[in-house]
Amino acid sequence: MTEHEQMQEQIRAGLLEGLIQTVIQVFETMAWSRITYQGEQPRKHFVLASQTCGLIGIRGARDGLVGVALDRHLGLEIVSRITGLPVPNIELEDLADGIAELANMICGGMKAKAGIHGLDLTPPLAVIGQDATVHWKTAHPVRELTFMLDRDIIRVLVSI
Amino acid sequence: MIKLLTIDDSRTIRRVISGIGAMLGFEVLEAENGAEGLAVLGEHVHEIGLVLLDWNMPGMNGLEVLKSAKANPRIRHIPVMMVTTEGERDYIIQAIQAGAVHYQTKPFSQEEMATRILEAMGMGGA
Amino acid sequence: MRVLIVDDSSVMRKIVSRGLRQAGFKIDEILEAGDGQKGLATQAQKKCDLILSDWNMPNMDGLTFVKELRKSGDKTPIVMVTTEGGEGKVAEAVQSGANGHIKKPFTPDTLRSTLGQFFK
Repeated sequence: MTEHEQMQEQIRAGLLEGLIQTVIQVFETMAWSRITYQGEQPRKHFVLASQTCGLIGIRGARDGLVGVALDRHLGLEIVSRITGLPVPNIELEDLADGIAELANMICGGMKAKAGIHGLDLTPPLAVIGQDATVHWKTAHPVRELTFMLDRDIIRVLVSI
Repeated sequence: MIKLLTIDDSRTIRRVISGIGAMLGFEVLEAENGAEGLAVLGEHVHEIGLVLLDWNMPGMNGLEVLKSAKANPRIRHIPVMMVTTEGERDYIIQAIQAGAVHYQTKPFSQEEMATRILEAMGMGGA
Repeated sequence: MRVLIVDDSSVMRKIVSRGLRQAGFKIDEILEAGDGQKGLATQAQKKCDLILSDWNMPNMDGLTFVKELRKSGDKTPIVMVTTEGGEGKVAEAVQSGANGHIKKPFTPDTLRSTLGQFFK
């Protein structure tokens, strides 16, 4: 491994660690939900196949992509817990904004926890749909981090 | 009644702040971008006790809004608190230099935000 | 001196409790209850010297709490925590046996001037 590669590997490891901590923290402080980290698995492609997804690009010291994916009912429940709005009153725009903001806070926290300067985050993108599949071409290998909230799964895809 | 003004492009964050403000007994005004925020600020200058300002917004960013508010003699006395994600912590010093009185990073618990609001308004807290 | 805070928001209970400490009152213990019903149970057990109560709470709201407590013969001072526009409700609460009210948002100073009379 060259020195440059070693440095890049350090950045990557720091970001991953920061990401895991931050996902747990964001759900706990903003949505009063205690989630548990289940582990990670390599994935061939960056594919978000859930009904509620938030996505953010990373540029600068390291290029990458982070996506958060939940089932719609869980997305609604989380946005309801964050905003205090009852689930039936949550409109599509609330759901999209809530999920985008979730991704935003997660990536912001990841960046801060990893302590890496010169890293820019793109504005968040939310994808809400019954059968939407978001497929992204990525520069780096893809990992899927899994978290559980009771019996529901929260998937965080990361290519960094 | 003392009012708070939240300037944030995320309706989620505006709603969270409105809930916390109402719990504390404030009426909360909302603006979804800097230009709208400055207009509301000018219109309600005598009622607003604190502005909660997001950093990252389309159009004018938080720092531009802050500088613009501080350059206006009519509204410059109104305290401004920055609300940023943790990743924008580096920018906080710029905001303090530009006249922000306090900051709160996202994510935050209701208690943290409530305490920070009261502190920023000199109404106790911590 | 023991104080009971009745509020369904745990955050608000903490804010009130912090405000009381900052106001400089000599308090031995602050107890908390999440609704009127729990407030009644806590008061029956712990006999606090002052009660601060919120209005809107699940299970039993602040007004019912005041009425029930007075019905039980408990004469502990109760101060209602209100928001602006709640003046009509305050009159009703006072008729039902409440001793005063604090308007939100409050500062340690307002707490001191409103609650001073209840501290020996």
